[in-house]
Amino acid sequence: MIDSIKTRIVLGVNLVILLVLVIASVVDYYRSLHEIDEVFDAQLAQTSRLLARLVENDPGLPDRLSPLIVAVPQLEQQLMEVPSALERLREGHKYESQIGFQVRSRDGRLLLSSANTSHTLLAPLQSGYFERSDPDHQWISFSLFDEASQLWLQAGQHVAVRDELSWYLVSGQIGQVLVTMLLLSVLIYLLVQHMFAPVDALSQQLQQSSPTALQPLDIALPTEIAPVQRAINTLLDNISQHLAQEKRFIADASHELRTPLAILRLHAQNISQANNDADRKKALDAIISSSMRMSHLVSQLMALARVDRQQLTHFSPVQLLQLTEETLAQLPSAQLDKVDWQLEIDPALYVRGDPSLLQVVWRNLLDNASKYAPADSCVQVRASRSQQQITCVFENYSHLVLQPDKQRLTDRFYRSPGHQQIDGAGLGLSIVKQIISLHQASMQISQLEDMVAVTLHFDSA
Amino acid sequence: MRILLVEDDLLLADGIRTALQRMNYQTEHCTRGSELVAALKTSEFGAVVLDLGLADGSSLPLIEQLRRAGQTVPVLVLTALDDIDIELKALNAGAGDYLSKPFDLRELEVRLRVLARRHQDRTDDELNVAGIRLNLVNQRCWFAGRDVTLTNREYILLKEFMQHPDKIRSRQLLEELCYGWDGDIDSNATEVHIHNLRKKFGSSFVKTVRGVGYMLVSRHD
Repeated sequence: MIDSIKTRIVLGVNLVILLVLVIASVVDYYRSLHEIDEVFDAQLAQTSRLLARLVENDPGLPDRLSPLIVAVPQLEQQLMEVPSALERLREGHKYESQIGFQVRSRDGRLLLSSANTSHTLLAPLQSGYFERSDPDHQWISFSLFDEASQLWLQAGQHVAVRDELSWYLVSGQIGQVLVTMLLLSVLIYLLVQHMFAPVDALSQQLQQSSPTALQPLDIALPTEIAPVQRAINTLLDNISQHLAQEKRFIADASHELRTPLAILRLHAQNISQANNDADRKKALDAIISSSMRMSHLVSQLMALARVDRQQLTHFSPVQLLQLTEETLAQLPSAQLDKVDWQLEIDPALYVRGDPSLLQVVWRNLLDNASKYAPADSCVQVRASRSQQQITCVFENYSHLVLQPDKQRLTDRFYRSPGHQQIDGAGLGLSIVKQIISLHQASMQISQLEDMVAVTLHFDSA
Repeated sequence: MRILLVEDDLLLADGIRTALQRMNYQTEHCTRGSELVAALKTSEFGAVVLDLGLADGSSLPLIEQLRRAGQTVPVLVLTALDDIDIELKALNAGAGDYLSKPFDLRELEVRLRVLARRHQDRTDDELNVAGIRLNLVNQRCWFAGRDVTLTNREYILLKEFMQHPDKIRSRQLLEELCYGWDGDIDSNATEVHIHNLRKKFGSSFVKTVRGVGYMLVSRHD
């Protein structure tokens, strides 16, 4: 198969035109041939009638013993094609040998003949047109019986004369078709080239883009291909956003890992240089805390990377009460015991979602609630249905006023300045936000006096 | 030399503080930029170690604010970002040097010492005042042709006097240098240390300015 659309169009259009021209030529050829036949046939009939009128004035003709022969000049056929004027000679015309006439008596005896037909029978003794062959030529002839003179008058012509004329017609047509085709092909080629120039420009510009140079395409395109450019630009935009996201993620991750690494190194050096057991113990505890913080950070980073790359989720109905209880059971017991949990969740409430991703959401929110709430305070988890929505609220006490940086809480690695002494990587809410948006749900963080609430809105299943 | 550490990561701050104390740098710690400004108003510090990644994002404006207010205290910036632009910004804002996390303790100490040296217009780490030689690298001391052994607190006080010869050092400053903010201000331990220093370097080595503090006299007319 031919892969290039341009070649396909040029070849296709040329083939169609060729077909149309050939059909037109063939039709023309047959119509011309018909006209030629009509003119020549009429001429043969006229010649016979003229002959009848001429021989009427020769009463001795029927009684002749030998036929009267009308000489026909034998002119050389020129090999070269010459203008008609040069073929018109004083002696006559070379084609005279290709037409002939005969007069016969009622019983068929030859009385008068052109010299080139004296040994042949032009037509049977019957009125009308005939085609017949003698050893040398094929003749087409007309035969007429004149009642007054009781004579047969016949005129004939070589079929070859007509064939020659038709050949001229055919070759003329072929030449015309070829010249037309050549001219059309060139024009079609140029036209296609011109029309495909924007497409060529588009592919050229696309070939020049690379992950480091993702410029949007801006070529003036015809309306049929413009959507392709728009789609490509959207894709390019997505890709560069994705790349930027990856880059930011790597920068963030390396940034966030540096501080715990610094802590590990510092305290390790402190151990090696400490001069009492209390200092050594302190440094050791710090190393343990820092390595725990690092492993938490790494697992949160992995979760975030996983959620970032997640596109398709396998949704199924998830029972909210079960989800909450299961997730609570996974919390470390120190955290579980720190606060009073109060669940107000109807067992009949379900949301559609990815169970394992929702568990990540619940884990982070429950973890946050107990982490940032004062000890022995109450943490509430409520779920309710209203019209088309299911609302889940995670509420805890907090002495900290979040108002100024509420917007930034879901930013990666952002931690409220007042929370620096509480362990955390600053990724939890960012992960939650990502998963929530994968579920086409929404999340709000609000604070009313010293109660902080995270509210999730799901479309009801 | 007394250091003010501004770091909101408690584990990191604790490690730095322990290490610097061990190297005879009295270190005070605060977690916020606003605390830094207040501390500089009430106490004198030889250098500030400032984490550029404070959660309240105040680090860079803080340096500019200090410089506008005429504070010349050298600032060493700690950064977790491998970003030359940020480091240049910090230096342009008025920081004296920067250190990327994770860092080696020895490097932190050397950079602090170099910052102080530059701040005091010295070319080496040996102080030479009133016949006393004090090496700040190995913390050794010579007087009248022989080695003098110093306790940690004596070293801290002697270094402070020698870095500011002929200038009055207040009692409060000296107490804070020895014992920090959390120390027992009412104790007369500082006087005991100065008494011991006088025994080692002669009674006229440090002059008492009544009701104010003490002063090292570099020349005896």
